[in-house]
Order: sequence, then C-alpha cells, then structure tokens
Amino acid sequence: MKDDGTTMKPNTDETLSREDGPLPLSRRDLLRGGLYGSAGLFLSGLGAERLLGAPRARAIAPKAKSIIQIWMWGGPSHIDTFDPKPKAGHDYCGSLDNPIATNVDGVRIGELLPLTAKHADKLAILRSMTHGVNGHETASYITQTGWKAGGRVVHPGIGAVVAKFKGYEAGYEGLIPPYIVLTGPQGRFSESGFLGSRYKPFATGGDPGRPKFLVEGIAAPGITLKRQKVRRDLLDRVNTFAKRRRGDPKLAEFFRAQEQAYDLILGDAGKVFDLEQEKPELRERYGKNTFGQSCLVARRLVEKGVPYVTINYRGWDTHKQHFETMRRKLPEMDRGLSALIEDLHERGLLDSTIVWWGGEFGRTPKVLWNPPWNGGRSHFGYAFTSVVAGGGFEGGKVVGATDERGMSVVDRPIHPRDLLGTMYSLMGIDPESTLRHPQGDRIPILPPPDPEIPTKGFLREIV
Amino acid sequence: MRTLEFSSSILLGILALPASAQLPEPHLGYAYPAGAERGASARVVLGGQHLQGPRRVLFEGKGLEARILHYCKPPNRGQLNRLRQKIREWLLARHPELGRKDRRRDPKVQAKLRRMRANPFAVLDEMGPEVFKRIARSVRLNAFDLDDLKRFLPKFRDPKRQPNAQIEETLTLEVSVAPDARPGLHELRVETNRGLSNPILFEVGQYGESLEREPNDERPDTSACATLPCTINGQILPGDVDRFAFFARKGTRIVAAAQARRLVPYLADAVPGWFQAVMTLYDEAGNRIALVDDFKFDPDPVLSFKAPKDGTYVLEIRDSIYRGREDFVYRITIGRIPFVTGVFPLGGRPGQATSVKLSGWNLSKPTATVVPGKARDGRIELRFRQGRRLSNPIRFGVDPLVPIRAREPDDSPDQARKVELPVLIDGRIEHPGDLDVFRFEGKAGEWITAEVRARRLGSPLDSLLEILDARGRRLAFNDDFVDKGAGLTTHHADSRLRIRLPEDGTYMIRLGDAQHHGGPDAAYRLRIAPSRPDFALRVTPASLSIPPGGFGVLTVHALRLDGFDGDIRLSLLDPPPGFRLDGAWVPKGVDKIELTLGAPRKPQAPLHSIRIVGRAALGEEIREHEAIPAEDMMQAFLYRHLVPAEKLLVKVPGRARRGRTTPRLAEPGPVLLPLDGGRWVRFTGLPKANALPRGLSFELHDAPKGMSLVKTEVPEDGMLAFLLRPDPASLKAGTKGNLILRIYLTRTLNRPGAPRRTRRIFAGNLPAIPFEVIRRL
Repeated sequence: MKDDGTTMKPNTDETLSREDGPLPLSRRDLLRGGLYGSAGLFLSGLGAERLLGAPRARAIAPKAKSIIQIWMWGGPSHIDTFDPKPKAGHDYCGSLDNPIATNVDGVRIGELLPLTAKHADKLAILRSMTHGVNGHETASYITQTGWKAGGRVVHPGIGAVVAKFKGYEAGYEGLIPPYIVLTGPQGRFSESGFLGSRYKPFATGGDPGRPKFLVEGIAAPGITLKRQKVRRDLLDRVNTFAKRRRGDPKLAEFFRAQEQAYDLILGDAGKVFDLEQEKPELRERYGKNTFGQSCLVARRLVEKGVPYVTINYRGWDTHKQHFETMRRKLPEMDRGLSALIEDLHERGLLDSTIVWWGGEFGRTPKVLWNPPWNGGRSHFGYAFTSVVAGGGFEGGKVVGATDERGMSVVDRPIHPRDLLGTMYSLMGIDPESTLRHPQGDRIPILPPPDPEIPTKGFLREIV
Repeated sequence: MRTLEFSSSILLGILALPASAQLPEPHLGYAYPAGAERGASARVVLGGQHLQGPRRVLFEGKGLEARILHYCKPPNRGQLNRLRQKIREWLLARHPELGRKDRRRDPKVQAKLRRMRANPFAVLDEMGPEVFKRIARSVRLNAFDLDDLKRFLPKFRDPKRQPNAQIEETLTLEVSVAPDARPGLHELRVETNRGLSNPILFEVGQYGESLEREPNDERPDTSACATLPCTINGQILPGDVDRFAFFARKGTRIVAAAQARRLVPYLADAVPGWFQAVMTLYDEAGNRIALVDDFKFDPDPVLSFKAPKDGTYVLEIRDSIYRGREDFVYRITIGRIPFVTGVFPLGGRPGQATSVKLSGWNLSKPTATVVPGKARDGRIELRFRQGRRLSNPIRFGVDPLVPIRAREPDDSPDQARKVELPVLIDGRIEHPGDLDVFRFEGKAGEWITAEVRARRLGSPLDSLLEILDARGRRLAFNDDFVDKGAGLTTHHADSRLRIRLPEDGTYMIRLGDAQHHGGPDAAYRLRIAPSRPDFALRVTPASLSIPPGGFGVLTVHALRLDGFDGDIRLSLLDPPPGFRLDGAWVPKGVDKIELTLGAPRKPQAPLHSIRIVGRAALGEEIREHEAIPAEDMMQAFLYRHLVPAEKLLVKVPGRARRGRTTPRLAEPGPVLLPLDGGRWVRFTGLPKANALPRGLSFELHDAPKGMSLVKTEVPEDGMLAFLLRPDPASLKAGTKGNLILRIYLTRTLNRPGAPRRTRRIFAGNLPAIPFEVIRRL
C-alpha cells in the first residue's frame, strides 16, 4: 500500500492488536493443531479464520495469477546453463564448451539443455543479473527481497509478499495454502521476514519422486484414508469435552478449522498432491525424480489457483567436481523445466503463470581445477543468469550480456529489485506498495534503486 | 604460411612431453600421526589425492626417513556399487541357498543371513585376500585390498561422512626419526611417478608419543598418556570427541598444548578454514575445571593449571562445532613441560647477543641470551633450552638497527621520549589504556614510515598507531596493516603508516592497543625511519613438476612497500644446469605475475631446488631480494594466504626422448602488441611441421581481459606463430605482463556402442611471452 493510500489496499488487519496479531505458528502447526486434538483449542479466538480466509484485496490489472519459482539452491553456473562462453577456453568452460542452438535464431544455451532449447521462444533469458554478493544467506536474501542484507529490518521474500497480497486477505479461498514450497524450506533464508510465520510457506516435505507423494501434515505415512476416517470418528466419540462445550463460539471456530484440515486430507483439496491422477506418460515426460515430479505438482497447484509455488531444487552449490554434477543434474533439470513450460503452455496456463528459474548467484566462470575442488566453481554474485517465462513475460528474448568470460555484466545490468518489481507488476502488485511492520513502520516491499548498480529499472522491454 | 586446422594432422611431441605431464599433480592433505618422537619410529598415514606410483618421501631437514608400506585408493561411488554387486555374486555362488526364494523362510538360512549382517568382517575373512583382490581388480580397483575394505567399511556406513576426494587416497609409511633430528616442524613431500606433492608439516617431538584409541568419546582413554609428559596424536571425525585421562600430583603445573591449525594451517573447503580445536579439562568428579578454544590470538588452545590435588584428570578435545574429517588431526603435549608465553624484547640484531626475559610456565631459567642467525622476512623461530628439554617455539624479530627501550611514563606528548630517526623501540603496552608516545624532529616534505611488529612476533598486542603534529593534531592513523607475506596471520593486527611531513618541526608518534588490553606480554617493536621504497617477493607453488624440456608455471607476488612501483627483474640464483625463466619480470605497477620455468631436456637429477631473485633500481641503488617460496592456500572457500615454505623444489621426471631443441621466443621480449590489430608472435625451436599431432590447440592462460589469441599458424618448419590482439575497449596502452599459451590435445573416444566423445588433454605450456600494449607499431 502506498503511504498516501491512493493505490491498492491489500490488508485490513495490519494494525491488529497483540491478541489477534500474527500467529507465531506455521500453517502446518495450525493443521496439526486442528487435527491432533487439544493443542488446537488454543487456536480458537486467535484469528484462525483470518488464516484460512481474508478480505479480498484490490489489484492493479494483473497479467499473471501465479508464480512458480524454481529455486536453484546453492547458485547454478550461468556459463554452463543459459550464458555459455565457448570462446573463453578450457579454464572457463571445462568439458562443456559446445553450446547448442535453440528454436530462437541466434540464441544458444548450454549443451546439456537440449529439451529446454526447444522452448526458448517462451523464455526470457536475463544474462545480466548482478548484486555482487557472494554469501549464500545474503545473496538469497537480496535475490528474493531486493534488499541488501544487514539492515535493521528483515524483509519478506517475494513468496510471502505475494501470499500477503494475493492470499486469503485478497480473497483467495482455496484450502491449499497460498504459498507452497516443494518440498523443504530454504533454510538459510527467512521467507516471510517481518511479516512473521503467518506468511511462511507451507513446506510439503515428502518426495514427489516416490510412487506415493506423502505431504507431511496432510498424509500420515503407513495409514490408509479409511483408517484416518476411523480415527477421526473415534476421536469424535471420545472427545467429551467438546460435546459438553458444544455451544462455545471459540470451540466452534476451532472445529471449523479442524474440518477444513480434514477436508485437505480426506476431501478433494488434498488430491492436488496425488500424482497418480496424472497420466503415466506425462509423469514420465517430467522425469520420474524429485525435481521433475515437483514441477508436475507445481503445475497442479497453480491449476488450482495457488499464487506462489517454490520448488526448492538443491544441489547446485558445486564447489567440487562441478562438471560431474552438471552432467548428472542438468539433464534432470532440462527435462523437468522443459516439461513444465510445455505442459503449462499446452493447458493455456503459461499466459497466467510466471515461471522463474534462478538461484542466489552464479558460479565463478574460472574453474578451480586443483584439490580440493577438482574442477569446481565457487560463488559469483557479480554476474549471473535468471530465466523467466509466461505470465506476461515475452518469450524468445535475451536481456543483457556478460563479457567474453562471463565475469562481468557489460550490458543492461539487472538488479534483483528490477526482476522482483517486474514480477510484482505482472501479478498486479504495485511495486511501490508498503507493508506494515509489527512495530508500526511502513516498509516498502522493494528498496529504492541501488546507485552502485546503474540499471534501467524494471524489465519493461520484455513485458 | 599454413593455418593450423586444429583437427588436422599437426606435429607430435611438440615439447616431447611424457604422458605423465598431462596428469594431475600429487596432493597431500594431512599426515596422521602428524609427528613422531626423536629416536623413535612411527607408522604414519598420509591422506591426499593422485598419489599413485609413490616413489619416496622427502623431508626438509636431517634425521627423518620414511619407508612406503602401502598405497590405497578407495573406490568411487560407481566402483563401490560394482564391488558390492560382485561380492554379492560371489556370496551367492558360495551359499546358493541364500538366493533361493523357496528357502527364504528357512530358519537356518535366516540365521545365516543374520550372522552375516551382524559381522560382515567374517564374510570378508571367508572370502580371503586373494579372492577379494581378484574381485577388486575386475572393477578396476588396483590399489584397494581386503584390509583397506575393512578399514573403510565403517566410513562407508557413516551417514555423517562426506566424500572428500582430496584426502581419500592414503599412503602408509614407516617413519624413522634420528635421535639428533631437530625438534619442531619439518616439511614433508611425496614424490610419485607423476610428480611432486605440495609440502605438509610433520613434527619431531621430544616426548613419548601415543595414538588415540576409539572409542574414547564417553569413557576416557587411560593408556594414551599414562606417563607424563607425553604427546597424544588424534584425529577428529564428524561429531567426534576424544577424552584422555592422566594423573597429576597436587601442586604440579600441568600444561596441555594442542596443535591443530599449526599442523594443517588452512582448509579451503571448511569454515572457519581450519580445525578449531576446543579443549576442556575435568577433575575426577567430572567437574569442569577449564575450557579453552585458543591461546592469546592463536586458534590452537593451550591450557595450564596447577593440580589442586592428587588425582586423575580428564582432558577432552573436539571441534568447536563438532565438525570433523580425516585431516582434522591434532597433537596434544601434556605434562610439566616448559612453555614460554612471552619474551622481551621481541627481537635483536643479527649476529649480536641479546639478553631476553622469558615469561611462561615451568621455566627453570627466566632469562636467555639469543644470537639471531639468518632471518627470513625479518624474523627467526627460537626454542629455549630448559633443563633437558626445549620450550615451545617463539618468533623473534631480527633488525640491524640498534634498539632502544621505551621508558614509562610516556603516555602523553609532555612525557614523550625524544628519538632520533631511524629508530627501533622495544616496549610494552603495560596495562589497559596505556599509551606510549615518542617525539622526533622532521623536515617538510620528508617521507616517514612507522611500523609496529608485535602480532607477527607472537605478541597479543593489537596495535593502534598515529602521528600527531606539535599541536596534537592527528596527521596519520593506522589500525591494521595487511602484510600479505605473513601467510599464517588472519588478523593483521600490526600497524604501519607512511606520511609526508607537512613542515619542519616536532612530531609525535602514539601507540596503543585497539582492544584496550595490555600487560607484560603485550610487547612491541616500533620502527620509525625515513621511508625507503622496497619490495619483497613470494613465489608459488613450493613444489612443481615439469617434464624434461617443458615449462612449468610459477607465480611471483611482489609485496611493494613505501611507494615502490617500478619494474622488478627476476633471475634464477645459482640455477641447476639447463633451467631458465621466461617472462622474468614483475612490471611496474604489477603485484602478481605468472611466468614459466623451463626444465632441461636431460636433467642431471630428478629433483632440483630452485631459487629466484628479484632486482630493482631504487634511485641510484640496485636492491635485491630473494623470492620466498610459498604455497597459495585458500581459507574457507574465499580468503587466500601465501604460506611460506622452506624451499621451491622442482621435479623433472626422466629425460626427453624426442627432439633436440626447446621452444623459444623468436625475438627478445617484451613483445609490443599494438591496439590497432595486434601482432604475430613467433616461437622457434619447435619440431618439424609434419610431426605435429592431431587435434593440437593453444589457449591463453589467465590473460588480461581483452587479450585474445586470434590465430595460430606454422610459418615454417620448427616455428609456430600466434596472432595476439589486445582489445582497445578493455586494454590500455602501457599495460604490461606475461602471456602464457597452454597446449591442448583433442582426442576422440570411440567406444563400441557408446556415443563418440572428444576429450581435451592439457599437454603443457609454451614459454611465457612478456608483452607491453602499445597504441600502434
């Protein structure tokens, strides 16, 4: 919200008192509380209804309804993926010095991404991302909040901001939480910042790559649905306290939350995680592994209207034996990413879904050949690549450029703020909006432009 | 002139490189135990990578010898899976009932399976070493025997263990230490068929030695230090805690001094970049008496206590955050050992006797006389004899200036002692808040340098230095001065400043402690003198392998001081026959340069000690300094340190078989490269054109941004020409440096049934090309 109040009004409960303020409980805690008995009692009266349904917020002409963030945890090499430098020589390219053509004239990408190359017409490749930060934590922070780490305020990441503006308070009514992470939280990054645990993502846990994807808190391993129903009935029968206090409004609120939680498990809502409902051929196309099937779950989630999904894709912090890892992981990524783009496109969802691929930074263009690295790449925040597709982004584009070795940005520097602001705009969130800090201050969702990185601002050239 | 088509037939054996020249050099990560007692022998395991074909172990210093007993290269993930499969096949062939579905529920079969699972070693014993060797070889495991597998099994099963290829291979040695071997650290290298490893450290100890024995996490090991004093050797693995029990009599001053970071100074792939040892002492009742995680500023903890009563005490050691792996090695010396904590003054004059006062524990003589010998980087390392034993090592400064002593009170300008420049002052920051102020007369325009040497000489002082004018106004201030030559220092606590005096008159220099500490150990040496532009040199790496007739790359780091910005010419000092330097300069304004060391085609010996000296004109004077060999070590993924080594050793394996000449620049350097189109640079002394191999290519190595190799040609037999072009957008006229061309061979792998793949092989370097970028020719 702007300070002058002239734009959107995303939230009506920003000045909640301590009694009904943000809960220090995650959504999973709520579900568990609702399900597993007396702990849930303490939720009553604490605004549980506000967690599961919120006032609708005004929006500014959104083009996109959802974002799928493929978070390349650890920082993927830009040189070996979307910004190849075949002329830089062996010390920079190692064995991956043969980039391939894409279906866009003149655009070449890494040789291990042949499937993605067929969908380059749907991608915008941002080759000039830069923030100059080389630590995982601080780089993850700036990449997903736009703010430099170290200030007084811990800012929320884009997922939490989207959940705030497009979640329950904006009329989102699904039982599935509005901010989902597949499968584990980022760990080194506080996704929700000062917004608190209420806007933290719901981390599914489990492994979609296994025959049965068991979402933690929604499915109990080793227990059939029938048995869960029997357990619920048994609980109802022995819960004499609830029967005696049937008219209590606080308990009624709790029971409503409990029913919703059961609906998520036993009703239709939870079926979004049931990949057996997909055709085997499609599952195969995504790749029968954790990442590929996570992409498929992500598609199912945005199909159900979930506004923000993060796929936390680990394994890109390749200090050691980088090229072996690239040869193992990039084909897996290629398959999942290309299938996701293709599937969204075929279903007509790509126009309303932003797919954002990238990590906290790139990796050092120069290969470290000696032990202990044995052909590794280190952290590199001075120049790296992100890729976006759909949701209003124009495909078949390359924005910015790095030098002949991928060491520095030589054209159109893009600060994370520029990319985040563009995505906010496409989602119908004014990038100049502010949020209420628990201590009362109004905090902009994005920082002012960094004078040290002279960018051209938001990515208007590709929207 | 013929343009090189890299895939066409070109000459073979361009530098007559043996195959081994293309392979990675041996690398050592640790020695365990990292030391042995004088006059004793010990079985020592070295961990590293690319250690196959070990020939011998080289120690710096006399009295140490090693016999190689065993080399082990454990399987990688794929080999391990194949090995597991093969063992399973052997097992099923020997016990067919285990594989029969109809007998799965048979109690006898199930009991057998349970026994095997409970004791896999029995299965391996049943297999025997010969069968295992056959199976291992079938999966191309040629240096992994049955005992190795037994040793590695717990590691393979440990979920906390992470693969670390750089220390996976092991060499087992029998090390013998002569009774007269010098106590202290010695460099150890391994020579293999491939080359020469980096140096690591191995200590000759004075006390009885023992190895820790697991399990000792809960119940202390009672045998490791049954008799004091002793030195315990241990290794901390993930989550590991080692405990040792020892007996002490009431009133005995016991010192427990750990060495961990000192043995393996930097770990590139761990934070904070070394094994951060923590020692805790418990009494008999389990009460914690002391916990230490450092000693003054040194990360290696030292613990001293006076035993309150006769009894058994338990010493525990672990990593501060419970990390661990094989290179987390330590040595703890426990007992009533002489331990010097401080010395005053901190230095003396070369060849002159200096009387020093010692502070510490268990010292029978509180004073000593020191006659400094040959210093390196302005300091030496000393041990003080205390009875039959030598103390721990202490750093001692060496400076030709006659030192004076600071005298209290000298806290304020009014009390400042007047000194004549140049001057060297030995003093102390005696208590928290103490300041030492000195007064000198200076002339307008004169450059003055003031430098504190304290932390670099082992003092805990974290100095602050400022220069004031006569009215008390601050003219210059320095807290920390980064001395890139002090490779083991991570907090550059010493101060240094240089100032041009604005007017004739009196000036004040004030020295204090940045942390508001002070005490008898907080000693310093303050040198105030007219600035004298100068330089120091470091050369990395400290071990190098060069094929006969080939060229190895060395990096020379120039540490420029007091405004010196000129060219430094490099040359070999007393070189062995046939060695030569190309690109032997550090141009004006450059701090780091790569150059090449050429090896003879027919060397007289396989190992050579190489010394490099730098000369520079400083006004009328030619100043000369020898480059100190060093290892460029990385700390915690990021920071780099030049850690000094005793020698630069070069291995030249074998003798060149092909060709008679070695490549050489056709014209003497530096080559002038114009910004308007570049220039052809020619090498002579190459084999005939029809002898070039297929798939030969060249690449510039670490060239400055904007410098490119545009084209390669063979103008005539025995010659190669390279078109080098500087890009005016990135490079300016006047840029100087060296260019190194790397040679690669591209090989096509045609395996039946597998897709055709090409592989690039590094085949060596051409001599460095010194260059200067100019506007036009």
